[in-house]
Amino acid sequence: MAAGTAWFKVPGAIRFVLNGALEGWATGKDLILSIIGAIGVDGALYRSMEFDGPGVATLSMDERFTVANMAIEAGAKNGIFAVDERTRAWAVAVSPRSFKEYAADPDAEYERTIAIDLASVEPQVAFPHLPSNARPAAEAGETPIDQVVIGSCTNGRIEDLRAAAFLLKGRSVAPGVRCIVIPATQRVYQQAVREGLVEAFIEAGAVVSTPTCGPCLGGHMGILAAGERAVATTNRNFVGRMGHPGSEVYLASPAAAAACAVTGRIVDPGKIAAAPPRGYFETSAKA
Amino acid sequence: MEQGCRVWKYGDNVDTDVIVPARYLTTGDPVELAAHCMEDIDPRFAAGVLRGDIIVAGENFGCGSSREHAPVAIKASGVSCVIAKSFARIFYRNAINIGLAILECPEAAEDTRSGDRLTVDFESGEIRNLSRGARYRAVPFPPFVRNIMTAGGLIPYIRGKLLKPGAHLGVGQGGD
Repeated sequence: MAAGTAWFKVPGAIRFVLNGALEGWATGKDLILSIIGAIGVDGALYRSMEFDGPGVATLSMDERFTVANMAIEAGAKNGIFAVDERTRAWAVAVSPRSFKEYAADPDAEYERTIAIDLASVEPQVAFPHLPSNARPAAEAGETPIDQVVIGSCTNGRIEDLRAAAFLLKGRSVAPGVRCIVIPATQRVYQQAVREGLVEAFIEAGAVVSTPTCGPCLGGHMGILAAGERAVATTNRNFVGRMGHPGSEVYLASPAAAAACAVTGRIVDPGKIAAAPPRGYFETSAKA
Repeated sequence: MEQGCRVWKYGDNVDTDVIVPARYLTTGDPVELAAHCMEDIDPRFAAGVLRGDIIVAGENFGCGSSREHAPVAIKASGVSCVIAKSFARIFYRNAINIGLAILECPEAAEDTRSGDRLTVDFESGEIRNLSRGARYRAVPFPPFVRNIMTAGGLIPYIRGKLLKPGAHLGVGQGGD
């Protein structure tokens, strides 16, 4: 700010063309975990990840935010989506400020173009100790766990909490498992209270925290001891990330994490309930 | 005879959580952070590192959390340069902006082993491995980036410019 200018290394771009629509319990989190699993934690190193194609329209804004949030876990400088009607409706709903739209040039050059069939994305779990160690949750071997963290900047939006509450309501967190729910913002927290989600979490035996980075980076609350295993909807699972260097973090969607909390094992959310129709958890533009 | 700087060699995807674990982020003191530098990947590092030593690593060095503490800890531990096949982008920017010298050089990173002795010429980008009698060529940084690193980071660099009456402040402009 003192100089009025800043230095930048201009990134190359990778284009992800999304086709079709996600199905069942697959979410934006599963999409980005499967992408990172395919291209690696440096697969988009210092690049821009651009998401477009007809499949974008099928993704909620909350899902797009999760994908963009985790672009850095593929090494990217940023993750951006083509603007569409949903983006505009969201922007009008959240802020009175006017906005300017940017679009890729028609002749934009891409280092790589990767086509993705959204219907092929399954609920994922990224095994320790890299976000790229993703594999289908159904193939995770029902590994026993000690803790579940649902929320954070990556997956603490209202739609995430609705999905988690859908699976936890009327069920209980497995004995011996700690389940911590952390809304991303005070606004999400208030909405979760109004919608009865917080009550559902508490009745299921989870604890609900004020928004905080908290356990995501081993800061406070839910710090893992040696040998402990957590399923988290956060963004990273490096060695020692949530506590002791001998602990383990598995990354998953809020629905998958909630299913793990109920069973005390790493499972596909379809194991405990059928997925509601796509769009069921989506925030309305009026929210 | 030239001695060169001693190398600590690491692999791919060295993340900022192992460079300085979050449990030590309660302090911003560089000396305290340096005491725990690399602790979760190499407990011998903090006690054994000597002023001038060089870290050499594989792909995507510094990935993960954006914490500035990571390059600060490495710099405060006395490391004179980090050479990697590639750097994660936030670490790359943070390193330059806090004045930690870095260089991308896949050949040097591939060839070099722990304990080797290196010399680095930042102006030409030449890296010499005295232990193996090899030379490698990194793409040198543009002068304005070298000036930021030499000044000890972006803040001292800007401060130095502010103290020059009439000098323009733009980063990376003109004869900078």
